Amino acid sequence: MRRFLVPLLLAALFAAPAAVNAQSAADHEQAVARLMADLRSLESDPSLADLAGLERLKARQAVAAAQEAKRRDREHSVRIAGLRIAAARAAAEADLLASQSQQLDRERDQIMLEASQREAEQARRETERLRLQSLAREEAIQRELEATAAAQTIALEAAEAETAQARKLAQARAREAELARKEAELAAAVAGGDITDAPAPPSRREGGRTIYTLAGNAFGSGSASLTASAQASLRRLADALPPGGAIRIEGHTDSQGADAANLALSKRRADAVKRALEEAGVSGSRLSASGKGEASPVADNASADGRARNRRVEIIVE
Amino acid sequence: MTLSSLKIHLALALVLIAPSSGALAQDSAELLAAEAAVASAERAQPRGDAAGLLDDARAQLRAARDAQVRRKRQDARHLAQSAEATADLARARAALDAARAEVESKSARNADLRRRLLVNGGRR
Repeated sequence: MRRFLVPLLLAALFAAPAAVNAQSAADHEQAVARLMADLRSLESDPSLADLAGLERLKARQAVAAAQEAKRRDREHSVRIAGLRIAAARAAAEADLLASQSQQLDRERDQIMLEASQREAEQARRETERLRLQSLAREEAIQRELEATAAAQTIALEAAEAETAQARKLAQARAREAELARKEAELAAAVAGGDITDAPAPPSRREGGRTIYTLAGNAFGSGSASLTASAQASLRRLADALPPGGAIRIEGHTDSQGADAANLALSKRRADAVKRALEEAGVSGSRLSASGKGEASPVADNASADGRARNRRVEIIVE
Repeated sequence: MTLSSLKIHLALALVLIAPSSGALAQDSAELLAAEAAVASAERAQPRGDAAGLLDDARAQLRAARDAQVRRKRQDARHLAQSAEATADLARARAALDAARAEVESKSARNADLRRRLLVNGGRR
């Protein structure tokens, strides 16, 4: 009996744990299945593909170890495999974020580049604007200079014209002086008996009056002295005048020179004619002399011919 | 069972139980691997949950050393492996947290740059 007791006790001792072991094996299989599902989930995530290779390898090895673990190591190996899978996922996600971080750095560089390009474009536009502004300013200055030069040219031309006019005037005066000199010579000749006869000054009828006109060349230039020819002409006029009636003598000048000077010159010339007529026998009581200056022109003072006609003494017989 | 046969069985059991020199070397290697993993995780300067994981790894490492001193090889081996795996997870989580913060910071920076340099006409 005792020979069977020990094996029976041993069988009883091993039977109970066998049942427990069977349950434990089933639990372990479930745990390993979960681990493999977790690992497949990690491996099949396309966003994490090819990342954290070493950690994935450790996780696969840990899961394989859990599958092969002996009973006493099962719980431990399952826990280790869980940790390895979690570490592999965390490492893969960290790698993914590191990649995104690099992408953000490139994006930052791109933003800076774009900003720099914009800034350069802005600077280029500003430079162009300033260049155009400067160009416009230079053109305005150039136009101003041209206008000034044109004005100077006009002024120069005007000055030259004035000079030419003055030169012509001087020449005319010289010519006038020459003529006066010749007349003086003739007068001297008359005084010496060379000129004893001359026609009376030309006349015209106007409002019942007879107006004799002694031309300006009857006097020396700027002078109130009658030429010899003029004196002879006045003597002929004195002979032709009617015996009675008032006679007005009016002196006139051209517009050259000052008004006051012209007025005085015309008066002196009228007085000279009056004296000549008196000397020729006309009663002084019939004669009156006045100077009109340049106030009553009969021709255009702009031309030499006109000015010559305006220089005159009119003897008006009422 | 005679006394002599009992002695023989006991001797056989001691031979089976006594650790070989190769097994001891493997235990030391696992402990060293755990120490290296913890040191690596410490360099990652984990925060929050990752810091908690690092604390766990340190505690497991200490326990592994104690178990080794007390010649509990199986416990020491398991604890060392746990310490290494937990430290690796702490390091990975720390790296993940740092990368996430970096991406958030750079995203905000880029948005600010784009707004200041491109949207607002380049005024800096």
